[in-house]
Amino acid sequence: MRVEALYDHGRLEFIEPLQLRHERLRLIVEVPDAELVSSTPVTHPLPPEVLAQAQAMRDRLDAIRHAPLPPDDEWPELSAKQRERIEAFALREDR
Amino acid sequence: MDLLLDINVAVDVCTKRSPFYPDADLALAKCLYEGGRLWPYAGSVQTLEYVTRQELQYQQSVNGPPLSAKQLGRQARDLLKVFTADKHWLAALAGEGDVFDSDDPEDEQLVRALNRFPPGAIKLLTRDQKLLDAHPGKTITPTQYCLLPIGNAALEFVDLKAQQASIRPALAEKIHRVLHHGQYLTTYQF
Repeated sequence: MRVEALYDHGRLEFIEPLQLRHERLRLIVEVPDAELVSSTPVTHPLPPEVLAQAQAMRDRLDAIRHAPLPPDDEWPELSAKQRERIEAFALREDR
Repeated sequence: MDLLLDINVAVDVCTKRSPFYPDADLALAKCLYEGGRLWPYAGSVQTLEYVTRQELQYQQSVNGPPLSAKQLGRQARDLLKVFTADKHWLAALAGEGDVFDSDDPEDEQLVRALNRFPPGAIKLLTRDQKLLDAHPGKTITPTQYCLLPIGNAALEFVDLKAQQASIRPALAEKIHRVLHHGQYLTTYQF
Protein backbone atom coordinates (compact mmCIF):
# COMPACT_ATOMS: atom_id res chain seq x y z
CA MET A 1 0.00 0.00 0.00
CA ARG A 2 1.38 3.41 -0.96
CA VAL A 3 0.48 6.32 1.35
CA GLU A 4 1.49 9.94 1.67
CA ALA A 5 3.34 11.13 4.76
CA LEU A 6 4.81 14.35 6.05
CA TYR A 7 8.38 14.51 7.35
CA ASP A 8 8.74 17.07 10.14
CA HIS A 9 11.99 17.42 12.10
CA GLY A 10 12.80 13.73 12.23
CA ARG A 11 9.21 12.41 12.52
CA LEU A 12 7.00 10.92 9.83
CA GLU A 13 3.24 11.48 10.01
CA PHE A 14 0.67 10.00 7.67
CA ILE A 15 -1.47 12.59 5.96
CA GLU A 16 -4.51 10.30 6.29
CA PRO A 17 -4.61 8.44 9.65
CA LEU A 18 -4.16 4.67 9.32
CA GLN A 19 -5.13 1.90 11.67
CA LEU A 20 -2.08 -0.39 12.00
CA ARG A 21 -1.72 -3.74 13.73
CA HIS A 22 1.64 -2.89 15.35
CA GLU A 23 3.05 0.15 17.12
CA ARG A 24 6.43 -0.22 15.41
CA LEU A 25 7.07 -1.43 11.87
CA ARG A 26 9.48 -1.07 8.98
CA LEU A 27 8.49 1.22 6.08
CA ILE A 28 10.17 2.15 2.80
CA VAL A 29 10.17 5.88 2.19
CA GLU A 30 10.71 7.68 -1.10
CA VAL A 31 12.70 10.88 -0.53
CA PRO A 32 12.80 13.49 -3.34
CA ASP A 33 16.38 13.83 -4.63
CA ALA A 34 16.12 17.61 -4.45
CA GLU A 35 15.72 17.41 -0.67
CA LEU A 36 18.98 15.55 -0.12
CA VAL A 37 21.87 17.62 1.16
CA SER A 38 24.14 14.65 0.51
CA SER A 39 23.66 11.31 -1.19
CA THR A 40 26.02 9.82 1.38
CA PRO A 41 24.39 7.40 3.81
CA VAL A 42 25.79 9.11 6.86
CA THR A 43 26.55 6.55 9.53
CA HIS A 44 28.06 9.20 11.77
CA PRO A 45 25.59 12.08 11.55
CA LEU A 46 27.29 15.39 11.12
CA PRO A 47 26.64 17.99 13.82
CA PRO A 48 24.33 20.89 12.97
CA GLU A 49 27.30 23.25 13.18
CA VAL A 50 28.94 21.41 10.27
CA LEU A 51 25.76 21.58 8.20
CA ALA A 52 25.41 25.28 9.01
CA GLN A 53 29.03 25.99 8.08
CA ALA A 54 28.68 24.11 4.79
CA GLN A 55 25.48 26.00 4.03
CA ALA A 56 27.09 29.35 4.84
CA MET A 57 29.89 28.71 2.34
CA ARG A 58 27.36 27.46 -0.20
CA ASP A 59 25.32 30.66 0.23
CA ARG A 60 28.39 32.85 -0.28
CA LEU A 61 29.37 31.02 -3.47
CA ASP A 62 25.79 30.89 -4.77
CA ALA A 63 25.50 34.63 -4.29
CA ILE A 64 28.44 35.10 -6.68
CA ARG A 65 27.15 32.56 -9.18
CA HIS A 66 23.76 34.27 -9.30
CA ALA A 67 24.96 37.86 -9.19
CA PRO A 68 24.33 39.75 -12.43
CA LEU A 69 27.56 40.38 -14.29
CA PRO A 70 28.33 43.73 -15.87
CA PRO A 71 28.07 43.84 -19.66
CA ASP A 72 30.88 42.30 -21.64
CA ASP A 73 32.26 45.59 -22.89
CA GLU A 74 33.01 46.74 -19.33
CA TRP A 75 35.74 44.10 -18.96
CA PRO A 76 39.22 44.39 -20.43
CA GLU A 77 39.87 42.28 -23.52
CA LEU A 78 41.36 38.84 -22.99
CA SER A 79 45.04 38.74 -23.82
CA ALA A 80 46.47 36.33 -26.36
CA LYS A 81 48.13 34.47 -23.47
CA GLN A 82 44.80 34.07 -21.69
CA ARG A 83 43.14 32.76 -24.86
CA GLU A 84 45.93 30.23 -25.35
CA ARG A 85 45.53 29.01 -21.79
CA ILE A 86 41.77 28.71 -22.19
CA GLU A 87 42.30 26.55 -25.27
CA ALA A 88 44.94 24.46 -23.53
CA PHE A 89 42.85 23.80 -20.44
CA ALA A 90 39.86 22.91 -22.60
CA LEU A 91 41.82 19.76 -23.47
CA ARG A 92 41.93 18.61 -19.83
CA GLU A 93 39.59 15.94 -18.54
CA ASP A 94 38.61 17.20 -15.12
CA ARG A 95 35.01 16.22 -14.77
CA MET B 1 43.47 16.30 10.49
CA ASP B 2 44.23 18.87 7.81
CA LEU B 3 43.16 18.47 4.18
CA LEU B 4 45.14 19.34 1.06
CA LEU B 5 42.58 20.19 -1.60
CA ASP B 6 42.91 18.63 -5.02
CA ILE B 7 41.71 20.72 -7.95
CA ASN B 8 38.68 18.53 -8.64
CA VAL B 9 37.27 19.01 -5.13
CA ALA B 10 37.88 22.75 -5.10
CA VAL B 11 36.16 23.07 -8.47
CA ASP B 12 33.24 20.91 -7.27
CA VAL B 13 32.63 23.38 -4.45
CA CYS B 14 33.27 26.59 -6.37
CA THR B 15 31.08 25.69 -9.34
CA LYS B 16 28.45 23.62 -7.49
CA ARG B 17 29.29 20.66 -9.71
CA SER B 18 26.69 17.92 -9.41
CA PRO B 19 26.58 15.33 -8.01
CA PHE B 20 29.83 15.97 -6.18
CA TYR B 21 29.43 19.32 -4.42
CA PRO B 22 27.22 18.34 -1.43
CA ASP B 23 29.75 15.90 0.01
CA ALA B 24 32.63 18.24 -0.83
CA ASP B 25 30.87 21.11 0.99
CA LEU B 26 30.31 18.93 4.04
CA ALA B 27 33.85 17.55 4.06
CA LEU B 28 35.37 21.03 4.14
CA ALA B 29 32.98 22.18 6.87
CA LYS B 30 33.67 19.02 8.92
CA CYS B 31 37.42 19.60 8.70
CA LEU B 32 37.06 23.14 10.03
CA TYR B 33 34.68 21.98 12.77
CA GLU B 34 37.27 19.46 13.93
CA GLY B 35 39.93 22.16 14.11
CA GLY B 36 41.64 21.09 10.89
CA ARG B 37 43.01 23.40 8.23
CA LEU B 38 42.20 23.45 4.53
CA TRP B 39 45.14 23.88 2.16
CA PRO B 40 44.88 24.76 -1.50
CA TYR B 41 48.27 24.27 -3.17
CA ALA B 42 49.85 27.50 -4.37
CA GLY B 43 51.48 25.69 -7.28
CA SER B 44 48.04 24.89 -8.67
CA VAL B 45 46.65 28.43 -8.93
CA GLN B 46 46.64 28.57 -12.72
CA THR B 47 45.07 25.14 -13.03
CA LEU B 48 42.49 26.04 -10.40
CA GLU B 49 41.50 29.22 -12.22
CA TYR B 50 41.22 27.77 -15.69
CA VAL B 51 39.55 24.50 -14.69
CA THR B 52 36.99 26.48 -12.67
CA ARG B 53 36.39 28.65 -15.70
CA GLN B 54 36.08 25.61 -17.94
CA GLU B 55 33.52 23.99 -15.65
CA LEU B 56 31.47 27.20 -15.48
CA GLN B 57 31.53 27.31 -19.28
CA TYR B 58 30.32 23.72 -19.45
CA GLN B 59 27.48 24.41 -17.02
CA GLN B 60 26.49 27.53 -18.94
CA SER B 61 26.38 25.54 -22.17
CA VAL B 62 23.94 23.11 -20.55
CA ASN B 63 21.84 25.46 -18.44
CA GLY B 64 22.35 28.82 -20.16
CA PRO B 65 22.19 31.72 -20.60
CA PRO B 66 25.72 31.69 -22.02
CA LEU B 67 28.29 34.04 -20.56
CA SER B 68 31.02 35.64 -22.61
CA ALA B 69 34.63 34.54 -22.27
CA LYS B 70 35.37 37.63 -20.24
CA GLN B 71 32.38 37.16 -17.94
CA LEU B 72 33.30 33.52 -17.33
CA GLY B 73 36.81 34.53 -16.36
CA ARG B 74 35.53 37.18 -13.98
CA GLN B 75 33.06 34.84 -12.33
CA ALA B 76 35.71 32.13 -11.90
CA ARG B 77 38.05 34.57 -10.19
CA ASP B 78 35.30 35.95 -7.94
CA LEU B 79 34.35 32.44 -6.84
CA LEU B 80 37.95 31.46 -6.14
CA LYS B 81 38.58 34.64 -4.20
CA VAL B 82 35.72 33.85 -1.82
CA PHE B 83 36.51 30.14 -1.70
CA THR B 84 40.16 30.63 -0.74
CA ALA B 85 39.56 33.51 1.68
CA ASP B 86 39.35 31.28 4.78
CA LYS B 87 41.95 28.76 3.64
CA HIS B 88 45.72 28.52 3.95
CA TRP B 89 47.82 28.48 0.81
CA LEU B 90 50.39 25.70 0.91
CA ALA B 91 53.50 27.10 -0.72
CA ALA B 92 55.19 25.07 -3.44
CA LEU B 93 58.77 24.26 -2.41
CA ALA B 94 61.82 23.70 -4.60
CA GLY B 95 61.74 19.97 -3.90
CA GLU B 96 58.35 19.81 -5.58
CA GLY B 97 59.70 21.15 -8.86
CA ASP B 98 61.71 18.18 -10.07
CA VAL B 99 58.73 15.97 -10.89
CA PHE B 100 59.18 15.41 -14.62
CA ASP B 101 60.04 11.74 -14.31
CA SER B 102 56.58 11.19 -12.91
CA ASP B 103 53.67 10.06 -15.10
CA ASP B 104 51.67 12.96 -13.71
CA PRO B 105 53.89 15.82 -12.50
CA GLU B 106 50.93 17.79 -11.15
CA ASP B 107 49.77 14.93 -8.94
CA GLU B 108 53.34 14.14 -7.92
CA GLN B 109 53.70 17.68 -6.56
CA LEU B 110 50.66 17.24 -4.33
CA VAL B 111 51.85 13.91 -2.99
CA ARG B 112 55.30 15.32 -2.24
CA ALA B 113 53.74 18.29 -0.46
CA LEU B 114 51.93 15.87 1.87
CA ASN B 115 55.29 14.49 2.99
CA ARG B 116 56.09 17.77 4.77
CA PHE B 117 53.45 17.06 7.40
CA PRO B 118 53.73 14.58 10.27
CA PRO B 119 52.27 11.15 9.46
CA GLY B 120 48.48 11.15 9.74
CA ALA B 121 48.28 14.93 10.12
CA ILE B 122 46.97 15.57 6.62
CA LYS B 123 45.32 13.83 3.68
CA LEU B 124 44.77 14.82 0.09
CA LEU B 125 41.05 15.34 -0.47
CA THR B 126 40.41 14.14 -4.01
CA ARG B 127 38.04 12.30 -6.33
CA ASP B 128 40.90 11.26 -8.64
CA GLN B 129 40.69 7.47 -8.67
CA LYS B 130 44.25 7.13 -9.93
CA LEU B 131 45.56 9.07 -6.94
CA LEU B 132 43.27 7.22 -4.54
CA ASP B 133 44.48 3.85 -5.82
CA ALA B 134 48.16 4.82 -5.86
CA HIS B 135 48.22 6.45 -2.41
CA PRO B 136 45.45 4.94 -0.30
CA GLY B 137 47.04 6.01 2.98
CA LYS B 138 47.51 9.60 1.93
CA THR B 139 44.28 10.31 0.10
CA ILE B 140 40.58 10.37 0.91
CA THR B 141 37.40 11.25 -0.97
CA PRO B 142 34.93 13.81 0.38
CA THR B 143 32.40 11.04 0.91
CA GLN B 144 34.86 8.88 2.84
CA TYR B 145 35.89 11.85 4.94
CA CYS B 146 32.26 12.64 5.82
CA LEU B 147 31.84 9.05 7.01
CA LEU B 148 34.77 9.22 9.44
CA PRO B 149 33.70 9.62 13.07
CA ILE B 150 33.74 13.21 14.21
CA GLY B 151 37.08 14.05 15.79
CA ASN B 152 37.28 16.36 18.75
CA ALA B 153 38.80 19.74 18.20
CA ALA B 154 41.29 19.82 21.04
CA LEU B 155 41.34 23.30 22.55
CA GLU B 156 44.99 24.05 23.17
CA PHE B 157 46.03 26.24 26.07
CA VAL B 158 48.34 28.24 23.81
CA ASP B 159 47.17 27.72 20.24
CA LEU B 160 50.42 28.27 18.37
CA LYS B 161 48.95 26.74 15.22
CA ALA B 162 46.26 29.42 15.03
CA GLN B 163 48.74 32.16 15.89
CA GLN B 164 51.08 30.97 13.16
CA ALA B 165 48.22 30.73 10.65
CA SER B 166 47.48 34.42 11.04
CA ILE B 167 51.03 35.43 10.08
CA ARG B 168 51.96 32.46 7.89
CA PRO B 169 52.35 34.27 4.52
CA ALA B 170 54.63 36.92 6.03
CA LEU B 171 56.54 34.26 7.96
CA ALA B 172 57.11 32.15 4.85
CA GLU B 173 58.28 35.19 2.91
CA LYS B 174 60.85 36.10 5.58
CA ILE B 175 62.13 32.52 5.83
CA HIS B 176 62.68 32.51 2.08
CA ARG B 177 64.38 35.90 2.20
CA VAL B 178 66.87 34.55 4.74
CA LEU B 179 67.41 31.43 2.63
CA HIS B 180 68.11 33.55 -0.43
CA HIS B 181 70.59 36.02 1.05
CA GLY B 182 72.21 33.39 3.25
CA GLN B 183 73.05 35.81 6.06
CA TYR B 184 71.76 33.83 8.97
CA LEU B 185 73.35 35.72 11.83
CA THR B 186 73.69 39.36 10.91
CA THR B 187 70.20 40.20 9.66
CA TYR B 188 67.21 40.41 11.93
CA GLN B 189 64.28 39.32 9.75
CA PHE B 190 61.77 38.20 12.30
